Amino acid sequence: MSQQTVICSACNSNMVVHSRLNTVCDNPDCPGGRHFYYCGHCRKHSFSISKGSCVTKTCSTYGMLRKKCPECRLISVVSIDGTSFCLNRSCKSHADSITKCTTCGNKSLVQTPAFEVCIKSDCPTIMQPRMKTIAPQKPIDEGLGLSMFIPPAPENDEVGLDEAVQSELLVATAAVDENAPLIVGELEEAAAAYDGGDAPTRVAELSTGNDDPTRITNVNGDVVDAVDVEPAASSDPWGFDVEPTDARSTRLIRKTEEECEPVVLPDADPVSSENTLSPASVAISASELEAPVSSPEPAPVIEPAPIAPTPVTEPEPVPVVQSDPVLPTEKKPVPNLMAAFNKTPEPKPDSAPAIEEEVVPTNDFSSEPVEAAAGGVTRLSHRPEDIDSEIELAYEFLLQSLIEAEDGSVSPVILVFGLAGSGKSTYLTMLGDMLAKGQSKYHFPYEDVTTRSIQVDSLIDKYWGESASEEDREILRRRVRDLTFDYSSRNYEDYLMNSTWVPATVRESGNEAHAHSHFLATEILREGVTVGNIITMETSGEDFQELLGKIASLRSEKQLESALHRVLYKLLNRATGVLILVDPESADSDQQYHHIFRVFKESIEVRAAQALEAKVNVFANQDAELDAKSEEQINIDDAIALATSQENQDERHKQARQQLAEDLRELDQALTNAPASHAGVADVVAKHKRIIDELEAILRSVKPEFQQKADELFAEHGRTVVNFMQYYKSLIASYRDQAIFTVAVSARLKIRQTSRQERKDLIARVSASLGIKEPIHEAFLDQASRSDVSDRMRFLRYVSLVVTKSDRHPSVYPPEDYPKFKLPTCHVHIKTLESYTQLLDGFVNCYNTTAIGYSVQRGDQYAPGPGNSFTPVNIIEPLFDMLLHEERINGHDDEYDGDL
Amino acid sequence: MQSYVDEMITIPEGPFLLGASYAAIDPVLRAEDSKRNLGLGAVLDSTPPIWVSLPEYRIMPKQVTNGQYQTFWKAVAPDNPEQLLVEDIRLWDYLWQLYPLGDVRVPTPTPGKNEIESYTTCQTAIDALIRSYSFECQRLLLGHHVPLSESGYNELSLAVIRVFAMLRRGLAHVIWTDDTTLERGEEKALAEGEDTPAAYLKDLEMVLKEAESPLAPAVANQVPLIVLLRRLRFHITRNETTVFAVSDCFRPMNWADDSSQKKAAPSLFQTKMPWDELPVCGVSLYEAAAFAAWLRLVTNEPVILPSEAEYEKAFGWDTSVTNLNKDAKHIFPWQGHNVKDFNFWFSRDGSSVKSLEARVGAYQDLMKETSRTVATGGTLYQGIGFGWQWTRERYNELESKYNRFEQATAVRRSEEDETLYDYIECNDLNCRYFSVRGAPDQLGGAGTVTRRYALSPLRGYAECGFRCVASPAGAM
Repeated sequence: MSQQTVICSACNSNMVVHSRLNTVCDNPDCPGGRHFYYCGHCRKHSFSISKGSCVTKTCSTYGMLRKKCPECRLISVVSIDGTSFCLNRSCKSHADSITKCTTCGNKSLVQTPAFEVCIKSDCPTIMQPRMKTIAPQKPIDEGLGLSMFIPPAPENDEVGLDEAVQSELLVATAAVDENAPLIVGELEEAAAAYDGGDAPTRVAELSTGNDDPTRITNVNGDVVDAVDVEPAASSDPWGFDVEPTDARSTRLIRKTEEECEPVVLPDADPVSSENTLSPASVAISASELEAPVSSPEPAPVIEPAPIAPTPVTEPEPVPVVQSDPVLPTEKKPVPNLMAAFNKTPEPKPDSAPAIEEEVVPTNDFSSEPVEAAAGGVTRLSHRPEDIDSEIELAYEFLLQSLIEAEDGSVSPVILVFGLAGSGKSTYLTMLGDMLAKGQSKYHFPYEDVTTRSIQVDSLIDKYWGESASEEDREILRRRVRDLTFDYSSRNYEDYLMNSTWVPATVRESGNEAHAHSHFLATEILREGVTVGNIITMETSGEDFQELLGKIASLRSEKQLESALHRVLYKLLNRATGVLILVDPESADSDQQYHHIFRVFKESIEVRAAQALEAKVNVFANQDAELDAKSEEQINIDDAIALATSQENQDERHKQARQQLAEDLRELDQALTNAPASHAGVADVVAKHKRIIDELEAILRSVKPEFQQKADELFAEHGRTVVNFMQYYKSLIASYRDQAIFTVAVSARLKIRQTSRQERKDLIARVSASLGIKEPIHEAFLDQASRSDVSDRMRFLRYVSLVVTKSDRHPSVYPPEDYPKFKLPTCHVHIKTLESYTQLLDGFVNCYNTTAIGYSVQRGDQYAPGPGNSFTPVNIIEPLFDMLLHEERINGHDDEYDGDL
Repeated sequence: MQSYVDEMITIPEGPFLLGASYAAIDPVLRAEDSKRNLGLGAVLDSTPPIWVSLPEYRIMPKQVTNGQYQTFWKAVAPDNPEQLLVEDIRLWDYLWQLYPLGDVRVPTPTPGKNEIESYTTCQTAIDALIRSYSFECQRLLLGHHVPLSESGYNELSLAVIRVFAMLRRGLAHVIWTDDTTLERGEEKALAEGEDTPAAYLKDLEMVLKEAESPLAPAVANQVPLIVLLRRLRFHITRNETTVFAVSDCFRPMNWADDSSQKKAAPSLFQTKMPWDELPVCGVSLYEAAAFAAWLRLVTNEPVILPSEAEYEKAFGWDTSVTNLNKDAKHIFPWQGHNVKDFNFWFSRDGSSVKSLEARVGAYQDLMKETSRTVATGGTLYQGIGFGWQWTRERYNELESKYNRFEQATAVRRSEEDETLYDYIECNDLNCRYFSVRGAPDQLGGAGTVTRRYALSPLRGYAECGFRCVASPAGAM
């Protein structure tokens, strides 16, 4: 075999390539340690054996320590921000968690709890973590083989590697897939060639750990990482037949498959074995239900899940990054929990460097940031590489930094939507001024609510690192502005205080130096603690107008050519609340807006139907209980009739049991597979909202102590993601109780067997309880079973119609009549939309708004008067009414309780 | 005229609550506010409750009507039956001494840029009015003010200066008691062109064309400057003279001429509200104060424009209550007999009070429903919703939430565990605006008796009228 000479990537000296596993640098002082392997990523002979990493600066794995993967035995485990994963696409460790990369199209996108990353060597985004979009991963405690959380090897691992290759190696050339990382066997072979037999043993130790008796081997005899949780002695704080552990004393031990007891849901059909869910179909391992990740004691923080690949030495706990959060389904069904969360959050220690545990990302605003777990690991954020547009880059940045923040808080996106001339800029200016000055200047009936300015550079440092390019910083400074202390302050002083209106936002042509379209953000604090960020966008009305024209036929933002339109559309889809500014001067508002109201309505239709079904279930369940009580007193004739009736209904009972069991299984699987990303988890809960609502409603009636206890525990341990997950798991586990399961089945049957009239009555009761004015047809319930739940507007629950310039134009009183009189086409959709949002515990509100109270004629125009004569009306209310509704903030007592 | 004073409603002396807090208003209103998003809290926020005391005074039950104002407009000077009172320089001199203005900072559309309107050399209120229009015309057509010593730098600026110099000279009888003393720039401008009505008409046409051209006709008809220029053009064209009368130029904005009502279109069913019974509007503070001065002159009563407190007490305080009882405070005049929000009566369906003027019954019903019965006798009408109403008080742009009462000089005493203040009128000469009360029907949020706004005293506004009081302050 001929020897090839190449240039050393570490010192630029000549190297002799003996084989892919044996390349030796001529330079005896080579900083790379002279001996190199072929790196499958950069495809150079630059993997330094002594360093354990590639020394080619352009390599995507440059400087990253690679360890042996205990699963595939390749030197292919790297770690990014504490999260380790194998670079081998074929590795079993992520057999279920590798998906198709949207960039390169290969099945090479590894899902980790914190991010997803493509490992294909020729992918432009290789090794660039990005926010998660799908949820295929398995939990760490699943106990079904290696999870994707591959812990960094202990220190002695590195030492062993160094020792193994500390001098020249004589390695026979081996055929290696050029893309494949090193194979352990090859390393062993190399080591054997080096020291005549010692090395393989040591390498083997590296690869399998030492001879600790607790080591577990797989079916092939390979030692694998232990990842199961050995419960520490502790009582179950949840009391739901679940055995949580004190994570501080938790040792991760992998359970064998046999040890994993499948959870069988309650006898779905005690009569027929068909209805007993098989372990396979249930697919909930005991470890899942019985091994919560976090410890209830002593603090409700995310608990690092120590992973001990080599149990000889007690490894440093490696935090499980970003436990999966779970959405509370909606406000009403979990009122006690929400109440528990609503306590005033404690201030974050300024110096806390660690990331807080991710709090439930909500499709409402119900969550609050919680305290960080000491020693937690910051989820990696990164600058998306494939974005050219400034505004899209800014959106992604906001998504990472504020909307789905590392501190676990999920900020509501409230989009202020208005056509040209509707007064957006003036509205936002006054809104910012009110937020900035609060009670000192304005009517501001919100307790202890203040704002803090957004420091873009600080956010960049925090999320993209201090090494973020100056170019990116410039872009973000231009495109992300602080609403209160920057944008509003300037406009207020320059224009409104100068008795002139804030000029209309200029439409960007793409050539101007000044960014006219930008995001506005502000941080809302209650009692000094962040409760959310308000994020909206300032751009020209023409842009909104164009989007409106397309929205009816739009299915994806990709259909939009303009980056600005794409971002607007994304924002709209991400928005929890939308403020639609209506210019009373405009004659075509009705024509312009009716599409968007229709889209809103249609997008949330199925969710609304599911919410209705859940609420109807509650009433039906209450009726069922009453019926059960009355049945105790029925006479013999009635009993015979009842028996006959039941006989006829056996089949339906059976189906109902099967369906409930299936629903439980699906929910559990979905929770188990829920990714750590906000959107991913939000999706899971949103998609299963109906069943969750149903389960909670039934449990509240038959086992009220469940909620009570949950309240107490949440209050005591915090609203951590882990606790939420545990709560939902416990919720499911409760249905192993035959009695409860039966009640749930009965409730379902009650719904399905009710006559049309009964359904109407139940719906009417729901409507009355929610104050829904529009009649809901009983056939609407059928929508709940539709599978085509729209992804559009998936968080939307609040729509506010803000009629601006009411100081100069006749107002309609009461304001809720405005659509009826002034927007007749929209009104058709708004009526229905209002019912839907109410079912989702949101609302449609109408406001007559004025930024200044009264404008005075000055020459041929009407202009603002003196600054201290401003009486802004309904500027902050459309926004804060949403926050109040979510109990994110509190109103003053004198505002709402009617007390004098 | 004596009847105008005789009809006044007496408001007894005593304490009352100036301003109001949201927490203390009628719970029914608060419930309505929460339900309807009316913004009452925002409206009340700038006027927190302060206990103040006022001496007894009397107030007109309705706003001054077109008919009443026309009577004034036709009144003759007390010592010269040949001369209309409005053509008597003493009237306008008196008003200027009563409400003088100094240098007024005026914002421009350019951020951070202000212009100064200087009235320090004005002789009378009419002089100030003319100068105010001149400044506005210069800003509008030239973009800036021309120094008083300059005659202009091009044809248009020269025309502007000439037109207003001509007007000042034409109204010299209500500006100067002695010789006409124009500014140097004005004299130069007049000297640079022909001193004939035709030449001034040409200048006037040029200025008017420039002012009108960017505007739609309907808008132009509402612009006071254009209305004034058109009146001048009409007068010069008809009379071929540049000598003017006050009534030619400064009658209320919406009066076509001195007898506007005679030209009103007849109604088929005679259901229109009579023109002379409608509130007069479009009069500047000085023109309103001139009416009060006339009334004072002819009745020898201390008639004057009301202070803010006098207005508010009349329309928002139960005069039967003499102690410091917060419950006696109302934010709507009609609260004594119904608890409805402002918008229930005004602008509820997008229509304005103006539309009711065509239906006398509806208009009178509205007046009745929104009236306030004074416990000590009499009924007050048109308290809010029928337009702003001039007060004699200046509007301090620096004041916040009645902090004038926090000054050390505020006279206060403790009463019933509350602090009771002598009311402090704002008479700061540095203030360029005057306060108005009452609220028009077209308003952001609710009109309340506590609501204040600020208007320039040198303009008549379509939504601003006035009423008078007979008060100790008028005796000064």
